[in-house]
Amino acid sequence: MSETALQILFGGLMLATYAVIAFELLHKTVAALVGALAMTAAAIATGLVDSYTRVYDVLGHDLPILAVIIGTSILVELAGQSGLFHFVAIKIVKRTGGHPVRLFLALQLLVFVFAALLTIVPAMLIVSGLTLVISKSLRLSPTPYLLGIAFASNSGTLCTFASGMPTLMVGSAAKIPYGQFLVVSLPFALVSLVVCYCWTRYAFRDDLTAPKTDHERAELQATVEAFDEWALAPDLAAFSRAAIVLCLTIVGFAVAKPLGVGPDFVALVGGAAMLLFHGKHVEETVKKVNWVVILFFSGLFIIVGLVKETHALERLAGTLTSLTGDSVLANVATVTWFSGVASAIVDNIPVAATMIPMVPAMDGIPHEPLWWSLILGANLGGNATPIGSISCVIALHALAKEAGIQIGWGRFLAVGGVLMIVQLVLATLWIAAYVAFDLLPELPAGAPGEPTGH
Amino acid sequence: MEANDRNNALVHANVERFEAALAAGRSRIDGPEPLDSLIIVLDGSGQDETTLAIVRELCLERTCMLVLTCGIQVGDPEAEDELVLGAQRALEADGLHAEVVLSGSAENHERIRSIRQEHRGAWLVMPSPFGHDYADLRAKSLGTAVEVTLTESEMPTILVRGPLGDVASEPLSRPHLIVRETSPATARAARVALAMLTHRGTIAGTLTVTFVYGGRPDPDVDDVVARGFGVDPQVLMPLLSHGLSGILHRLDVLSQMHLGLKLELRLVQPGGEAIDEDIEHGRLHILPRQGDRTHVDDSVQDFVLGCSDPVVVVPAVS
Repeated sequence: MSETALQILFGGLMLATYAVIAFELLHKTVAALVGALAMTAAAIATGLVDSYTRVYDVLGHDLPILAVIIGTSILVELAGQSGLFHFVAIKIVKRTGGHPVRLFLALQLLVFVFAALLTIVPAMLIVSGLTLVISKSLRLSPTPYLLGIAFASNSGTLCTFASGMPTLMVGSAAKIPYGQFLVVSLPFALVSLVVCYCWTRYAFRDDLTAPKTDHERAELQATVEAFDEWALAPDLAAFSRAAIVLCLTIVGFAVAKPLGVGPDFVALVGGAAMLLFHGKHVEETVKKVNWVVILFFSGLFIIVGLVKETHALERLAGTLTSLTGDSVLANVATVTWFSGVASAIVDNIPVAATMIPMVPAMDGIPHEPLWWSLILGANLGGNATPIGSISCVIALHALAKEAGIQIGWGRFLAVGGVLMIVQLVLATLWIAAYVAFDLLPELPAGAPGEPTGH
Repeated sequence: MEANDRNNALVHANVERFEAALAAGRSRIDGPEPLDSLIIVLDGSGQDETTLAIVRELCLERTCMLVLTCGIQVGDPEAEDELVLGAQRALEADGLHAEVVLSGSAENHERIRSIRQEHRGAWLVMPSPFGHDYADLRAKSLGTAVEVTLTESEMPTILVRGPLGDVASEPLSRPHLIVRETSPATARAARVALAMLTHRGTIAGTLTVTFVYGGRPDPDVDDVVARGFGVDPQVLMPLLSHGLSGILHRLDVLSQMHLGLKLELRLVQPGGEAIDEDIEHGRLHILPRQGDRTHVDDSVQDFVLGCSDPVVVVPAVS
């Protein structure tokens, strides 16, 4: 079979799998596994690979990502059981005195930090629960608060190596050191958060009014003061241990490279330490690792790996660069907007997985800005639509289930769509500015598309 | 869809956790309920002597402002006033000064209401005019001073129900808190219990908490009760869904701070044999009151009000 025929066959199978995922014809994990198995069978039948065991080689490259997910899942689950995050969340909300505008800002800051430290899903699950309770207690509409945290959490995923799944995937594939995130994407995450806050504050200005009288102010204050943060942290020893292990793991991520280990190792050490020191409910905790996501990733990595074997993604990358030329700005804009818009329509994980092999194949252009463009685009694109990111999906379901409020596509797009456009414009300019002022740190030797250093 | 369902369930679980934190915070127990002044209502019955004995016990280690008045209409204002003035003299003989509010023209419950409004931080001590067969507080809404006061009072009200035996201090140092759900009234009732345990200075004595557990049979709850307090605060977590872990946890923390304080947790099912027959008498039973109803099961109330021990009814509002 000719290379073009193989590219069409495997590219078609990959797109068919993505369509099944996007239209939810099957559970995304089932779709990914079925797609992976079908493509493995096709690869053997067409002679693309000589044995099915080749998929283990394909998967082997991405095992560090799975290790990070497993380690951080255990860490976050046990720290969550200790009441640590709930404690911090209540403490911060109490500082607002129940003032609706301050609360709006505090919740966005909170979910931003939680997403940066815990990844987006646990952050949203905790903060949306708090948001629903606090808005009900203060008799405020939950809509601006929940949508606000959904958008802000996507900015939080830009902060560090392990903050978001696309960030983790790109960071692992490009071997971006942890410290570079603090230099490039963390400052932009803060800019993106400020934009998110200002825009949502404006968009929901009618719902966010300050208390008019001292009596109203006192009433709001009394309501938030009624929260007892210690009620959710009954075991002080477990609470302290969780805080210490979590802090050490974060420090471990930062110093992993100088220590000669990867973030996967740090995450597994952190998870194991938490299991060791917590000492309770080990089996229950391990069960709570999101194995569904891990299987989804496994299927997806095999799919993308096999398509990569056909050189279809290199060809697509070549086509892209022939259109955009060797202009860095044009390529940065292309990657940012393509990954952003695609992430608004389908899950950003397949988008990132597909784009990752394309970036090193874009010859004649420095790859560093493209990796960062992919990180920013894939994470922020989800703000545009109700199905674009997991945080928006969680927020909209929480609104519907817990508060009986349905948000239509039109209303969502009016806020989220505009926000995504502004954020992607800024993201493009941000990376372009880093390139223009030569501020982007170089990737270490051995990263895809970079010299090996030998 | 399954992933959405899973996330919905997890969001809901977090909503419940934060609601529990809110309930626990509203029911915070920061320390004993202040006990600086007492309004003493007399009725001319044999229980007046017991009432005064309780007042003397409560004032043993502290300076309390005392206000005496009459709570029953005997038809002769002079006789009512003499009853109160006699009690004043008896207290003065023990070194306690009491202000007297004479009967005047107002109805008794109106006069008591007026005194209550003037002394908002006070506690009420009053005899129950119905004796030991007074089985249901709510059924007796006949406008009597006791009934009106109990349903509208914002202050802890000690109902004196019979002779205390030889030692008036015994029931006061053995409070028995009966709780069913977390509420501001429950938390305040716990503070009243602590006030009783501190009435002689330091927190000391045994606080029995009877948890009227009306949910489905739950081995976790049985386990908590079997283990009692003080083993590991984590064991109280199963009660979180029953809304009580916050209060129980705070009591537990207090007991760790005050080594003289012993906690005893009992579990009863509502209806039928509400409280173990083997519960000893000579206690001060404390019932939270939310709105116009006491916060316990009818059968528990029957038990408590059917015995001769004093009872404190504690409203939520302070």
